[in-house]
Amino acid sequence: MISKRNIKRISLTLLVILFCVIFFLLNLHFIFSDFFTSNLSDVTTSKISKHYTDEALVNNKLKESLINENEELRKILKLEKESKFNLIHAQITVKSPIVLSGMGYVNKGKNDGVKEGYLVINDKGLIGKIGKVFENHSEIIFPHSPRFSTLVLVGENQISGIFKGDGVSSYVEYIPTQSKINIDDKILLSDNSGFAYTSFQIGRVEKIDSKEGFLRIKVKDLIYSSGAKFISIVKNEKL
Amino acid sequence: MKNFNYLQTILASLFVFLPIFPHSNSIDFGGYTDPSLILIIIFLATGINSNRIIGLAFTIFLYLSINDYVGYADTFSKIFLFLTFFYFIRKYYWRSTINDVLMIFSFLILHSFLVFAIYRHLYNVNLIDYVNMVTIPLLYNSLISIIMLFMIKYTSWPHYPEKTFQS
Repeated sequence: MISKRNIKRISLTLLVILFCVIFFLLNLHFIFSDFFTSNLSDVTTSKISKHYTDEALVNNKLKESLINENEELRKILKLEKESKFNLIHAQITVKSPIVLSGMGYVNKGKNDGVKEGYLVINDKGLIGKIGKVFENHSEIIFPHSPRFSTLVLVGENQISGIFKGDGVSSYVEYIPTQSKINIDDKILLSDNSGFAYTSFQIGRVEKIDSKEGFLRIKVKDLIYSSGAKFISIVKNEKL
Repeated sequence: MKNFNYLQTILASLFVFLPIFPHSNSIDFGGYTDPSLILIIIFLATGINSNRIIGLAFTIFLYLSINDYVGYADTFSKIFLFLTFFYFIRKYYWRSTINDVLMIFSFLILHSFLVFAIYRHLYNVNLIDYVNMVTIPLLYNSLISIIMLFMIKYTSWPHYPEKTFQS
């Protein structure tokens, strides 16, 4: 029989181990190593020079974030030039902080020509789909949401399937079991209207399972859509 | 019950509101934290009164209002666990640092498990996918809850009586 004191000791040890694991999992030791190198390697550094170094570091960080934002906007412009899409550029402004949240809001609505069902992309891949549309803003449904579904083409033979979310991740479903699909095959966007989307890759085949007479394909290389800032809404006049 | 001062109340409101706007990454820790969960834990550990329950309900329903029906599972789990923990804390719990930390971990793990059970039942979610998605937020939520709990409950600004004369 373990005494209460020992239970506490064991739980404390487990907690310490958990913290150590978290510490290394999140790469926090790199932050500390930076701290030690900057503070202990040069003990003779005066306070004034440290002040200027800190200021330069802050400026550098700000500059870096501006460059990143600029780069993101440039990529969106490049996407518009290179693709055949007619795009409406927007920004994700509001998102629920709930971990498995499957939707957010963008700052473009009916007044900007946005309609329900339009797909949302950025230069890296698929971000989601437009849900309800209001005058000046609209809902965006992320691919892992159970409300999300869109037509995709899978593999060299471009077999069509439905790309759906299950609340946590996304799968391609309703592909006949006799279809020839291999691991790492490309998954391309599609719609019923033609081949305008087929040059846009959203991911690759990771795993193929069989479910209720159809294939169920797990998709890899999907982007972290909830973390996107600048997005482009693809205009589709047929919707 | 540990009372909050004005600064702590203001910071708590910012902590609730700012993560709604993504890329305010100074406070939302990259979108991996759920302030409503952290608030529930802090309130359970520091004590509950009617004002705190109103604040908590406001936060939970604010987050639900900007989410779709998928958010109901999360909200149900939070409310259910809050009431259960509230009952058990009143009946059987004695306050100590280790118990508070264990309470944080058990609350977060039970919340994740309950949400998984609901998602599994409704959408047949795969366990590995779920664990992949939830692990980092779970770590972030637990770390931030522990840090905040220690900041609020176990540290306090030293109060010395002001000296109006020279000794």
